[in-house]
Amino acid sequence: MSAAPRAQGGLTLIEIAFSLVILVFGVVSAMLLFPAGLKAQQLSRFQLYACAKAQEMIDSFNSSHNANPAIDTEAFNPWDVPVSRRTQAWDLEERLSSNSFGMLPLPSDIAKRLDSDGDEIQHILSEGGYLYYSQPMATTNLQESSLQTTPANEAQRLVCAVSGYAQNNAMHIFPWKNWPYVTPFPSPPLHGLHYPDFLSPRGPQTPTTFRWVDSWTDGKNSDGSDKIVGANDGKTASYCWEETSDPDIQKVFNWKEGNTDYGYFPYCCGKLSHNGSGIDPTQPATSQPIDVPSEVVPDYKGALRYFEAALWYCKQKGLRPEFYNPPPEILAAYNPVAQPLSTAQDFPFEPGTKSEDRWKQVQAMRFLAHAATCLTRWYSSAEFAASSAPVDICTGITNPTSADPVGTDPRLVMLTYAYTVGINIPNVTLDTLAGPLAFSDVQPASPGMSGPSTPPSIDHMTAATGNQFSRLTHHHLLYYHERCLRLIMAFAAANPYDWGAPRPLQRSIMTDFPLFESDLFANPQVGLPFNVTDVAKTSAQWKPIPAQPISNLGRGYMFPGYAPPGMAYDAALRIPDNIYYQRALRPDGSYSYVQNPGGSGTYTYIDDKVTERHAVAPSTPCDPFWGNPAHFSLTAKFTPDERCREIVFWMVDWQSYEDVELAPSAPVDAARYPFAGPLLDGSVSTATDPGQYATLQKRMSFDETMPSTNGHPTGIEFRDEQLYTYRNPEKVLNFKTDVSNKDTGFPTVKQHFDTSVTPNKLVTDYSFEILNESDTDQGLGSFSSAIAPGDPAHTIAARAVFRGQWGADRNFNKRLDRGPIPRSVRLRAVPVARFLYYDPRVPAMIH
Amino acid sequence: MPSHRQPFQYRRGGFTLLEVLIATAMGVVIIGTAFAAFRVASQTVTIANRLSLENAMMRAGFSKAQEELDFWQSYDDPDVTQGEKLRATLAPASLQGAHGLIFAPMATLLPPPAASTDTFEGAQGWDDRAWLAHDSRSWYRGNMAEKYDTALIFGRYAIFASADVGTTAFYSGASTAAVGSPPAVNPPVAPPVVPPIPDYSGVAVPHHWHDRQLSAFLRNTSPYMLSEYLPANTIYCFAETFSNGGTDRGGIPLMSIQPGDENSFCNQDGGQKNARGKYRQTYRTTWSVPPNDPQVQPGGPADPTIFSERWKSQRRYFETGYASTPESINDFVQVTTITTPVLDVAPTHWPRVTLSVNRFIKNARSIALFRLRLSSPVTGSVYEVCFTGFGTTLRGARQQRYYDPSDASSADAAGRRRGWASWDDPIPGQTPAAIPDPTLDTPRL
Repeated sequence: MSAAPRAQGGLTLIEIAFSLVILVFGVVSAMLLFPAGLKAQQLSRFQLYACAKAQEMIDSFNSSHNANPAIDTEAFNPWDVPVSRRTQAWDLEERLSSNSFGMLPLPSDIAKRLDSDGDEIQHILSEGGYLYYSQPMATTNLQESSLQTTPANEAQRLVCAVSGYAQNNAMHIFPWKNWPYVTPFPSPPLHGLHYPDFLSPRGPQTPTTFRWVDSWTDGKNSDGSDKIVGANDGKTASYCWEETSDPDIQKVFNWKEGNTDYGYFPYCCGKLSHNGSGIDPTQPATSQPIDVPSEVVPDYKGALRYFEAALWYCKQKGLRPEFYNPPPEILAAYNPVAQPLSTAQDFPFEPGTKSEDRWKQVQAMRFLAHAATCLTRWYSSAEFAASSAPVDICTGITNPTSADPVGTDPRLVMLTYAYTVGINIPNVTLDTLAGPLAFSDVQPASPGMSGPSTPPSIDHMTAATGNQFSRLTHHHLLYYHERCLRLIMAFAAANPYDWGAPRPLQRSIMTDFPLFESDLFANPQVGLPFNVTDVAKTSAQWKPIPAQPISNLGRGYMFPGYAPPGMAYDAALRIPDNIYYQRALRPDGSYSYVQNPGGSGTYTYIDDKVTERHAVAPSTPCDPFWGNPAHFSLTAKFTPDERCREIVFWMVDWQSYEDVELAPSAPVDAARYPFAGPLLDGSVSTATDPGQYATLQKRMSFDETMPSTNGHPTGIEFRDEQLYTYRNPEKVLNFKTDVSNKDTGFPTVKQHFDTSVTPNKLVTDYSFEILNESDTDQGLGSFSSAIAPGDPAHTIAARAVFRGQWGADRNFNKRLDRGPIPRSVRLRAVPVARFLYYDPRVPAMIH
Repeated sequence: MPSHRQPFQYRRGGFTLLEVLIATAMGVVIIGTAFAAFRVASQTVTIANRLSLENAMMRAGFSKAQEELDFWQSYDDPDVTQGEKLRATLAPASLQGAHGLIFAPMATLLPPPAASTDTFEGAQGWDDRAWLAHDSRSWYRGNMAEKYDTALIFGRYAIFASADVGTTAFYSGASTAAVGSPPAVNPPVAPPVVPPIPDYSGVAVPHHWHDRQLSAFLRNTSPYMLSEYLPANTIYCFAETFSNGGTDRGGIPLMSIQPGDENSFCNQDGGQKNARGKYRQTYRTTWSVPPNDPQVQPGGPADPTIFSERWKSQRRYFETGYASTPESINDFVQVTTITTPVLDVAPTHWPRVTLSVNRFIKNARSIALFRLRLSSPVTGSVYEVCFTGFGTTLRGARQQRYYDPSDASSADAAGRRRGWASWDDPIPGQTPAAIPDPTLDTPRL
């Protein structure tokens, strides 16, 4: 009997169900790995982008020029120019957040929708930071309006932020005086164009304010002659800046002694200077006739008088005659043909010169060399005795060869000889002070001059006058030029904090740059902006601290003679002389600091920096201008962790938002808005109302339509390529009108061919994007627009453009884009990379 | 009758219809799920592979860009036949040396003189130890205010420094007639009588070194090379013997101060008529380096025609600033960009990745601009990453490259050493002290 077959039991349904669950779990688990793999690949891609971007940021930060040449950089109060410690700070984030340097702030509306690990993005935003996206174009400074459409740029999904706090960086510009000033060496006293306003220097020394006929040709007149335009437009008054701190320079620049003009300006510009000292700065258009003097062209007499004035200056600086008329061995010492580098005059200052007096020799030789070289236009090499050897009357001769009466003093023989060659330079007395007795005999040597021909007596060789007599020769010219360069090169290298002489333009490397930082631990300077009386608008700025006390600080170029209209020269400008803050050697040999408020002569030693730091409470002002030197930290030692910051990168598809290009720009730091320094109101006739000066509102705009008879334009010129730091960082991409009613894909930049010309020309129409326009986003609006100047509607529209209210073409495809994601959706930003760095704090560029 | 009983059989119960339906449905679900899963998996793997491939190629491109930053292979590649295409020189120049492209040996561009004339100020040739702030030879001694239509009212500055070591001739004569240049736009009002400029012959000019350096760089090399070699604040100007039509009255060569068209050294920014430095020269316009592959011709790098093209390209400026147009920028990009594939050979379905490099100077900044472009042959989509970076200067790149003055053979001649840097290639058999720094900057004086 066979056994009953065993029932073959199949899997029950529940077993199958379990099996399926397990299977599904396994499959799903396996599938979950795929997106992880994709994410890893994506992360890898974006880490590559982040590396490229970080590299570019560091490259751009270190090598990009930060010149914004159209901005005003000086005023008598720091809050009257937009250059203080923020906009141009030597801080990676501050510098790169611009349309030229690659980092553009992500609109806050979008940034606030982004989640991140630890909510780091929101923490940074809440602390006032920005989230940045990558500029679609490369950071090259090429003109954006000429660039082609950028291809899809996946790297724009990267966003980044700087985590960590900025240091107290060095002041990029000292707003009271944008030092260093530079000039070629040799050169005449510094002078230049300046609005003919009450801010020009006026004072007891009667500075040489003058007028410059700045004209140019523009086409032809009906008679075929050149059409001269531009003259008498009120923009072209000028003055000599350097005489504001050294009145002796006035003689070198422009001085009328009786009916004779001395100095550089009369020589260079002839009779144009005759009315110079009489110009009324407040009424330039009426006080100065636009004449065409008959002696406008320089001549040899002017050149001689310029040299005489330069020589006179040497004496006023207390320089010995050997300085400007040296013996042959000194002339030879400065002859580079005979002097290889190793034995050159590396210390060109006069023996025993104190450090604080070096500037006098620098200045004296600068003017002397320039004036002497001007003479080579009028005298030949033969007249300059270029082929004759220098003569030293003090070396003595035993065998005279010229007309030498036997038994006479050999020095007299040499003296006679010395006055037979070279150029005679008559001695002069200016402003009752006699010039030195060098190069001066009374014999006629210069073309057109006449007079007795008696050599000077050797009795003139006294301790006071020196013992070197000769006419001016070619050897002197070489000596002047060489010593001039050696003096300034040594001065610029050794005296960076002595501002007694400008810096040499031809110094090819190692230009000194004084270090300043703001004192964050002392009371700031406080005051009202220029032409503002509302105390509610009181402004403040930290006091500056230099690394070392500034010697010969002098006055700023732009506003050296600030005084309210109708008032005398203001001797109590905020910018001080060097009497408040001096470094002093204490009896024990250590350095300390002394305070001498008001220059009273009562000095107070500060024991040491540590004690002083605690002794002087932050709220206690210790000086009306300078900060506390104990707080200077730019050159202090530091460890990396004290200054370390991070660049953090995330990836997020923020461009998928529906308002990706319609969201307004992130809030623009008000420091990025340019404005002019104090100036007259060009819309008001200076003839009828000379005291009218520009309001703060007008200084924040530019009006080039001012009638020329009323003087100069008002405000600041919004030159796009010259003010890239002072605009909305998204400026070139911003829309300048509301495009929210346009369809997606709407071309915001249009191009067409102009078929009216051959060959046809491609014409680009920037109707909707700003790109490189200069005036669309200025506060008062463009006066070239159809809207009338001053129309509130225009003002409001321009402000909207400046702050980026209408959004921007953020991928630079020149079309309006919208993404599929509504703005109510939050996106998660995935961390990609973090890079450590710290700011250098002090300005430094790699070129 | 015996019953014929069928053997007992279990009733083999089949699935009920319901079970079949459920089983079928489940089967369909399983198969469908599995199919979908495999499909998704397949697609995911494909995407992952593609992303991986793209990433690998992008990494390769980025790596190539880093190498290019450091080694400049796109411009001069000693490892490739015909790779040294920018080393050519042609025809001695009037003063010293020869016109050369940016990788021409310095020994031909600024050759040293015989030892007997190698004096302090009279020294010639490139000396990388010079151009120090304290070295008086390196100071500019001209008059920066001197315009090309000068009447010399500020005097003669060529008496202090001149590129001519021998006798320097100076202008004398009338001061109102134009000399080799258009009439002044805004001339001073002429007086009734202007005395002529007197003779100033027979004087020995003391300084030469700076002006000889400037002259040689300006005449024999390119603006890009000039600005990469000389200190950042150098004034690009010098003086020499007066020549009617060649210099102004003060002896400054018109080429260094007179604005002209794109083939001139001076751009037209502001109509400036006097000496300038790097920022002013690259604020409105751009200096760049000559192009590469598009100009390679069978005649080789020394082909005079090709040389002429490249010489012209490296000597011109490009309108890329405020006066630019889309056409001028396009011209700049076309002429100066070198684009190469990251992979020379690859399957057709692989994404194409190209790397372009463009080296130029704008706003005084030396820029190496890279564009890493990925295009998919499948979807046609294009992605581009553009970035700049720190890297080796032209001077550094030239110092990486070996130069053997005795080797006049072709680029791939046997036995020629090709060190990327001189310190990698000591000369066999010689002590280090005897090595004359065998780079393209050889010889040091």
